[in-house]
Amino acid sequence: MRDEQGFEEFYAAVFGRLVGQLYLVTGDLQEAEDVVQEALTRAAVRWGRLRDYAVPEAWVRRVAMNLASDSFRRARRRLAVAARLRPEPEHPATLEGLVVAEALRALPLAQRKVVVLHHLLDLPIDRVAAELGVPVGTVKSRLARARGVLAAQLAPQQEQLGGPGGAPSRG
Amino acid sequence: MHPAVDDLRTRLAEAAEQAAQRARAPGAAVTLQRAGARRRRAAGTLCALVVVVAAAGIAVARGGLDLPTVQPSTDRGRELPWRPLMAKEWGATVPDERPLDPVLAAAQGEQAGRPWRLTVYPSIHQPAGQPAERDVCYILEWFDQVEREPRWQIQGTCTPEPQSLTALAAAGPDPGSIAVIGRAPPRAVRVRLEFRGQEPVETATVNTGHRRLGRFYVAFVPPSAYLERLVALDRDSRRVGEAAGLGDLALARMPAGYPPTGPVRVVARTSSSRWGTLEAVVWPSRYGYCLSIHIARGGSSTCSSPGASVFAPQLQCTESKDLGEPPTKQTLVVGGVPRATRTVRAEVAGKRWEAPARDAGEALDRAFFLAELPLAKWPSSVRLTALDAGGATLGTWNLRGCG
Repeated sequence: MRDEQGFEEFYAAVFGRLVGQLYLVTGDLQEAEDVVQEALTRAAVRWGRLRDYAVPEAWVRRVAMNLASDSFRRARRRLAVAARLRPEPEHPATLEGLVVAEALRALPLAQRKVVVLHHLLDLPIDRVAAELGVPVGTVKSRLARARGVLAAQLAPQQEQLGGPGGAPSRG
Repeated sequence: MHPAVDDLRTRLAEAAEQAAQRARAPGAAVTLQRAGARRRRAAGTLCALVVVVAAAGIAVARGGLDLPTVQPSTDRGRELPWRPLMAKEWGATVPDERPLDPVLAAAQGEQAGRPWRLTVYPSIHQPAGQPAERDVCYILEWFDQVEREPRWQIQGTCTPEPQSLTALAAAGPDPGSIAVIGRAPPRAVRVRLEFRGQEPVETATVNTGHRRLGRFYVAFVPPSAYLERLVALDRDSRRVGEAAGLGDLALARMPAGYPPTGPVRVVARTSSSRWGTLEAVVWPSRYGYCLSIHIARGGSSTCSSPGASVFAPQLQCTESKDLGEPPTKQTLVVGGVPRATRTVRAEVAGKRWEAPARDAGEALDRAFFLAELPLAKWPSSVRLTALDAGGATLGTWNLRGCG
């Protein structure tokens, strides 16, 4: 019972945060929810051991990131599935958020991961490399390429921010 | 560092925070139940695993054959670090679709330096409470050889088995091209893609050799192409099938979640002070029409629930932020109104704005409008009135606000 209570608290604390991070990796909210939920289910199976980890959240994030790499997870958003016809979320997506997500989608998945781990979570390069299981040099090169693409993707938008108005005509 | 990247962390954090707020948690209790079920099943899994591994072995053997390669791919039979797909994977993750064997790598090639693969499989489609239907699913996967990253892009769809000539616009190897993939009738050896104002493109079909899967095609075309029609041709160049195209392929590639089954159209357009040109885009999907708002320079909202109700006038509230400034709120109104409507009037707390409505023609049987209301805050309610050319009222709607 104590185990379950501990897991419930952990779940409540990390679910939204991890979905936000995975959304930037997958570019799709539903897919992000799915991979985080799956990762948390796997965590629940192993909770007896995981609860003693210094940062169990890091384990769940790593599993979710791996799941986001799997073809079947990434394909489902494009598959014509009736799926779940869900009501609109209480908090609508902002266009700003969509633009950032769209800019990230221009990157290969591997580059999106390093951007999220390094720029969003502030993990140092060596930690990013350890988390993804790739050499430090690979992380650096992915970051450099990603920054170049993001600069091009996001710069025009900044220049237009605060531009002249274009509201519909007043009646 | 480039100024656009300077503020990257803040922008990423905001986007992540928004997603976190919108996330729907199934809950810890559900998760614990699932975890318990998995533990109980674990002991009985060994036999099933043996079966899956055997199936994977067959798929590897099939993938290693000299697969047919459709034009205009440039490579043939290249060894790639591709992991075979397993039907079990799809079955576990795609709602309402129950994949069946065989899962086949039907064709592969390379375009603009990137390897791709077309994978196909039969499936049973059965949404809750609905009768089962036989589907055929097909997926285009792109691989990144430079970084050895498996699958950097994957798009696919499932269509009813009897529908023998289909098309899906998928991402190409780069922004300079779009992939059109689809099914072809059993006797078709070529599929001709007919474009508006451009020469048609013909592509050879790939025969899977499987009765239920049939033939497929892949073509790479410029993103500016407008696909008007698909024509399937047999060996003697006789027509053995025809289907409507997807329209503007750049738009057809955008919709997420519910792939278009017919032309994707821009039905209304407006200029936003913040986002530049915004477009209301509609398309037919398997489950009814979808509507989304598309930012002309990139990005769009998603279609969350296709059906007749998506055309009803609606309010869309968004929030955005300039660098170093407090967030601002935008209010958009969009939707379908009677065809004779020429103007839609929006009223909020005694203020009025008018937006033009454009007739979308017989097929949609509606006029559409899209406007941004210049309000500093989200309104608590909005009243819309559809007016014809003479100013007569054709309909009114009271929309609940977001404020």
